[in-house]
Amino acid sequence: MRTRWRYAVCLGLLLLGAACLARGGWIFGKAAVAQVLLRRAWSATRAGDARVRPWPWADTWPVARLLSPARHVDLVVLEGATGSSTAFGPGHILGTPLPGTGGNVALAAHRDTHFRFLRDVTPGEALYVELPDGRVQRYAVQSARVVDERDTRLLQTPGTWLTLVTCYPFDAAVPGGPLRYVVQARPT
Amino acid sequence: MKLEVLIGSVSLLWPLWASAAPSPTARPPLPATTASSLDDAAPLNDEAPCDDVQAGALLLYGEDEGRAVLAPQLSQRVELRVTGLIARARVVQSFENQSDDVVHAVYTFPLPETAAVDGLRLAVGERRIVGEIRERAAAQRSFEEASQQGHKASLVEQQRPNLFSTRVANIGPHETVEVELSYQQDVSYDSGTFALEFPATLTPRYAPADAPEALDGVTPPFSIEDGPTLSLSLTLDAGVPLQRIASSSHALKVVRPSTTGPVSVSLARGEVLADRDVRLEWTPAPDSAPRSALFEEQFGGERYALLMLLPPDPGLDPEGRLPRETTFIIDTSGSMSGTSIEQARLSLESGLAALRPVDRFNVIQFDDSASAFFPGPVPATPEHVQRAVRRLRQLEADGGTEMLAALDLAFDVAPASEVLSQVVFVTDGSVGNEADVFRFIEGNLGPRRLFTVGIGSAPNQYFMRSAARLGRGTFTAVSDSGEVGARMQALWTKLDAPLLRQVDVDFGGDGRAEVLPARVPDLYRGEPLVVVAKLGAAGPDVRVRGQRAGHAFDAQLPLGAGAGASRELGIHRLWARRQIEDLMDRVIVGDSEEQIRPRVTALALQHRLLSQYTSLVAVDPARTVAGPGQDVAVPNALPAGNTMFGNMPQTATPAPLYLILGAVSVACAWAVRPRRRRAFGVTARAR
Repeated sequence: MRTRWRYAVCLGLLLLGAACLARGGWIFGKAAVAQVLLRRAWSATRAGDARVRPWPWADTWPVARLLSPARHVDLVVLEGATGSSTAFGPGHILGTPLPGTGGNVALAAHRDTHFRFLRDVTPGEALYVELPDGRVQRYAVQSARVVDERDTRLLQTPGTWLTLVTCYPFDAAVPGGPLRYVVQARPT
Repeated sequence: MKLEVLIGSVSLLWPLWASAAPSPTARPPLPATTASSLDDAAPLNDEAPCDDVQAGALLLYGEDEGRAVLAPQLSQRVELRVTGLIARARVVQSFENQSDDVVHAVYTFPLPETAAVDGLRLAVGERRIVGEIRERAAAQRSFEEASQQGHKASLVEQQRPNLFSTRVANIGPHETVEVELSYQQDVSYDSGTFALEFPATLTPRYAPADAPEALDGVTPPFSIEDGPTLSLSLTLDAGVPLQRIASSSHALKVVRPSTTGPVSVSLARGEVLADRDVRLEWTPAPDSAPRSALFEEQFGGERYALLMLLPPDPGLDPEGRLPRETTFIIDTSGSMSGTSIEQARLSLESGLAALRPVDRFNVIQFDDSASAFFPGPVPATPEHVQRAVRRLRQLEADGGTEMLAALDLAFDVAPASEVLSQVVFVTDGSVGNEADVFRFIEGNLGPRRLFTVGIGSAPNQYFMRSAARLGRGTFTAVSDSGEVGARMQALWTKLDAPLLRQVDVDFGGDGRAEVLPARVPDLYRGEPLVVVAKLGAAGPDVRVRGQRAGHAFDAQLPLGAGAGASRELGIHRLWARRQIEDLMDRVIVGDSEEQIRPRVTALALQHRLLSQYTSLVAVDPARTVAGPGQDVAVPNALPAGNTMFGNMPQTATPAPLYLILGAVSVACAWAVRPRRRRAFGVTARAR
């Protein structure tokens, strides 16, 4: 009797554990695999096509590529920083200028996946943005700040900037916290 | 769960580490916790020790040195005085430099878009310096000169018709400098209620990516949960007994010495954060509401008049009512997020409910692009209305403000004849390329009428009033959810039946009277006709004519009866302000600025008015301040309820949570795993 009960609990917990691990892993897997698929859409964008949807039902398209060779970061940036696009790559925050048009370009991505590297970036470090026309803009990291999510002033910084937004703290288990880690870089 | 989850608001300082340990793979020390305010995030720079930071103060960063400069604390005192239909305002902006440096403050602020700014005084201690009106470039030169010589100086410029900036040079450490502005505006009147607004802050603007230069000088910094403060007093001499004085934005303290004499009104809470516009309303006792009013004045050898006329309601004949074809446009851009989108939705729902089955309608929503709910206007059957309401409830505010796309879509349908073709535009007007939108409306309006509904605590009123003026419609402001119902109902009732169309105002004489607005809009029930005119050799009467489905309207009012002719009312300034506005509209819709500029400059100098081409400047040559100053922008308070771009995006996945839960579950499974029967059995028997 008791043994059967234990079997049931153990099996239940194992299934639950497996499901959780699978879901967690799926998030990482999706983030990694999507970037591979996005590379093709980016090539088409570089070849002159506009709004190349990486898969037929996608509601977003690549707008730039973000690189940090020192950190082995190479990401295709999608239009819109909504939940549906940031699952696959960094998203360009709507309302800020598009990469390559000057002004303060803001990108957001998940702290667990694509923008995990932000916690390690150091002042002066170089970041590169490749534009659809092939131009590459070099940026140097200037600042990193922790701000409240309601404080969107940094998205309005006058002048030409690259602003990268991710969640803070990096290692918090529960998502949806009120803090954001904002790295700003200036063209060099 | 990690410790960091428990840490509230923190600032991360890694500059010290950055210079000491340049290894790129090392992890920054996490996290050096400092004072915990939103604004305390420190720049990543060695020269910015956290001692620089004070709670609640906005930090600004010098372009190159990255040194934090504290913005001066700004408090504003507003004194309004209303005589009949004209309001005179005195705004004292008091800049207190709380830092140890000499600063030059820049403050960008809105004023009512009908405000005719005509006075500037600079007050330092006991000294008062009266400002002069100069051509813009000349004013700038004398300000810069004074600034460089260490003199105190102030320059007030008009950036846009409703957007101004004050610059104050050389505010010494811990010194307070007061800048006093005075202006005049007309009081609005609608359906028996007079209203006056004082705009307190700006709506952060969005400009399309291809028009970045449009944003020059109009994106001042914003601060959250603090900012300039405001106190306000109103002396109200309405000229008629009042039934009610109220404000939909602030609690008021009202003191009435007598039933007919002037009334003193102030904000009940005294000094408040300037995060929402102040809206004051008063209603005359029944039967004493004016049917008409005519004021006259002499200035510079010319006669000026202000006329308000409320046409009698001929009684609406339901048989004669024309069907409507109404296109609702709803702004779902990022600046509308928060309570604004909720108000917009409520407004539209009430509009849909007011339609009758003979009417046709469509709904267009826009952010980065525009889309219509239906392929074309559909009859307002209950099914269609319900479908529209369902879709409205799903709308979310996100993205940019591509207004033109929406208007393009709305104006795409050719208006049918014998139909009132109306476009109702619900927005906060947070747009940078106003000129393009105006040009589009002017060029494509046809027989349509454009009505704007301003949403939020600080809508861009200039944009919405101008759009409505060019669209020959009206502007309705809705500032809080509580009043959406009443205000929108008034608009829908209005839209149902214009009282007077093709209105013409004739001052007689040689016909040379310059009447403004030149293109009088349709009149709706409860709405007066208000015009200002430079009379020239006017005749003895004013004649107002108009049309309404079969009725002809014709009214006459005697001129010269205004006994107030000797009193300085400032009608000439209101006229000049409108004339300037008219001329500037010409530039917007395509006339050459080279032709318009000298005419505006001449008018502004003659009437001593601030304009896009003339500025007010005051210099105190007596005192000098030592040391070079720092330029500092004074932030505006973020409008209440507005969250600018909305919040920052959500950027954490639940992946770690799942992994932890998964690991814990597996560990638990391991803990409760069934042991070998024998070992287990022994234990069980022992019990």
